[in-house]
Amino acid sequence: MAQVIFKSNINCGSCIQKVTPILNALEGIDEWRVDTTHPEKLLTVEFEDIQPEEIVKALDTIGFQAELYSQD
Amino acid sequence: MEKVRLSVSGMSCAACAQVLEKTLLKQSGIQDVQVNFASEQVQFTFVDPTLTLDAIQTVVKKAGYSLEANDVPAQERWELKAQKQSFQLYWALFWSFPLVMMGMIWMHHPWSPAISALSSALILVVSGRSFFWNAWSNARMGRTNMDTLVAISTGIAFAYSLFQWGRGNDHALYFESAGMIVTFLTLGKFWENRAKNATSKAVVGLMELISNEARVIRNGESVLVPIQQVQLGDWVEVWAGERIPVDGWVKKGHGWVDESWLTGEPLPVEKSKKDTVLTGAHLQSGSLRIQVTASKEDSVLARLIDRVRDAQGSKAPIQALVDRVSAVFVPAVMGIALATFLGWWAIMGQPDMGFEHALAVLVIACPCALGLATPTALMVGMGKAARNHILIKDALALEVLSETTDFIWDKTGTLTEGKPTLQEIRWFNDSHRWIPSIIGIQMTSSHPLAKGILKTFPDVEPVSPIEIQQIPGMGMIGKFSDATLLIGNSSLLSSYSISTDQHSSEVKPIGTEVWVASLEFGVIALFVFQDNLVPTATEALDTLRQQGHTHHLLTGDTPEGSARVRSALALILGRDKCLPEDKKAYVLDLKKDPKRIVAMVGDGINDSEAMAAADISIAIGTGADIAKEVASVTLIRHNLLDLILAGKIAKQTRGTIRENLFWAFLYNIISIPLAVGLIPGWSLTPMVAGAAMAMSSVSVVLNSLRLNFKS
Repeated sequence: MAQVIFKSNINCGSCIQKVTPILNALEGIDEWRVDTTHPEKLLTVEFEDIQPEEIVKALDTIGFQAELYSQD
Repeated sequence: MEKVRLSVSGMSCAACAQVLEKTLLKQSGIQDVQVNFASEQVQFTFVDPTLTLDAIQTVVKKAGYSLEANDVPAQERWELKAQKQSFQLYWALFWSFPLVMMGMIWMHHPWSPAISALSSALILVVSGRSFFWNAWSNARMGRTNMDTLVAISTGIAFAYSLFQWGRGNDHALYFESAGMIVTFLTLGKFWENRAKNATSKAVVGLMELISNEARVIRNGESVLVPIQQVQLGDWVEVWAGERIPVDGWVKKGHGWVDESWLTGEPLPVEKSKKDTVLTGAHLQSGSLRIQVTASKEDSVLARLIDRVRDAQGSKAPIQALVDRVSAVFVPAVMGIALATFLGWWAIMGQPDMGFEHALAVLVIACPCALGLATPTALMVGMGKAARNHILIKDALALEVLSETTDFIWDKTGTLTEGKPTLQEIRWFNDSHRWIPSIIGIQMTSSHPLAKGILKTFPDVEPVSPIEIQQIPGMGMIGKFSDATLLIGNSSLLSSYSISTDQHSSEVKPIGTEVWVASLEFGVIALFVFQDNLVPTATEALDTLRQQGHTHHLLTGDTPEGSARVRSALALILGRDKCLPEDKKAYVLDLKKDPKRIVAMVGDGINDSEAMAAADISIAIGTGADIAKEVASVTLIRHNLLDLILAGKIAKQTRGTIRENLFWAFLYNIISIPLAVGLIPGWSLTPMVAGAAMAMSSVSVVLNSLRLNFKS
């Protein structure tokens, strides 16, 4: 299992509500959470077989931006 | 196109449902009309968008019914109705006391007419209101039934008595008959409604499988939310011991799930990633994260609830015997009354005498014991059945049970015990050496078959493995200092290249197999589990077959799994691998042949839909509560021979009801010539009416009691 962190514009609770169905539906994702208190609004994703770009693309379809912040 | 589902009030019998359905079908602008008598619901689809609900309400009101918004839960409405009915019953019983005292003991007391008139009026207005209301609705549609008979005769008896009392004629008062008839009939209705109430509980029982809350993952954290807030695509967490609150597939985790409500199979099913799970199933061990794939209304369970509800009401109404008799009797009596009036007028030239005699005919014709005929026979018949461990819910069940042609059997839990028991152990290696290690591994397992193995060796001191590993879907592996043991199915062994072929050819009993092998010594033992037939199954099915009944088997099990039961009981017809809706479809298919009366015997929630659709349903008392509530007959013990006894008692009770109806009408019919005035010098007096009433009531009660002594 790998982890990737994005900085994003998922700012508040209602943004989280909007991205929930999109992220939940990506089969490779195991866990995800957004730290809205962090200035960069960090989205942490634990995943198995999915490319980080696919996550970025999926968020883009509903108008959210995410940019790779760190990856291990 | 808007689909509406509403409650209906004012339907007193299955025929009302048909009338309302016909009325709505005639209405243009709406489609797919369905009226359900048992659940008191109507549904239809608007095709004409300009049509309003108010317009429909007007049409429905004209037919004598009323639509109500569906916001009050069904259960509450039933409870309200039951409360109202018990109040009406107690009210009638209370006021019938002075009525009887005045009529039987103090009939010459100067206050007797006044007290009788008051008590009788109170009974008629409060407890008997629904008879008058139903008779009136029926009359407007040009129909008559038992309510018409009751309303006309009690109404006229009361009015006629008032008139005679006003004229100072204290010897022609029938206040007592009017009041007592309503009291007896209220008692009968009360019983009938209790049975109807129980079917609604079945749906409530199913609803209890739906959790109120679910643990949803919101932004990485699990939050407990009301079930209504769970959305498609949400991730829901379920822990061991909880019911699965949603339909979906497993995203993460592993567990054993009891899906018996759907499949009827008692063994839990293993679930891991990508497997489908269903609302209402019970997670026995492990934990799961589920991605929701169906809304609350669209879950398999929610649709099952809808179908049970529909099936209960859409049953072809088998008219109660009383209504069938009334359908002939009412017009006949009204004809005689009219003929009496015309006869006196035309032949004797005395229209006023004719009027009086016509009224007398209507008064005497109402068989007071009519209200007693069915309930007393039922009470005695049901009591007799209960002493023999059989619960019978309603009168129709007795009628239908005695006419059943086809029995449809569920397998697991009905024909079989419903729990696998260890049938045989075969040792291929030294048993004493391995038992402590086998127990050591099995003690860590939550699989139900493991418990069966543990129970077999209660006194063995277990040896714990150094290391233990669970292989989902296959079994367990335990490492000991001297050997590595595998316990599980044959695929576990073959994945370690240990072949079971030469050993399985020796296996006699067919069933669920648990193999034990070691990497060092090969196959050690084989445990065979079987779900045994109920001891009485063979005899019960053979007896029914001799009586000319046809048997069918419907099971959720595979053809291999059901083969043993089929061959042991010579069951050829039926289907394997049935989902609940397949069972129902099979029942409905059989029912298409009008000559067949279909009985469904089952024990599980998965049978309840088919049971509700069948002409009569029989539940096994050890089974699910929902099945028992849908069922009209419950066998308390898991003894299938009781079903044969139930059939016999049903026949006897039905016979008694028929005899009772004969006695109930007999004395009144004999008295009609008196009322008409055909016998010169004799005319109808309250004494004759009272005697007819007493005689028929006593005959009916005695005849019912006789049922106890029939063997």
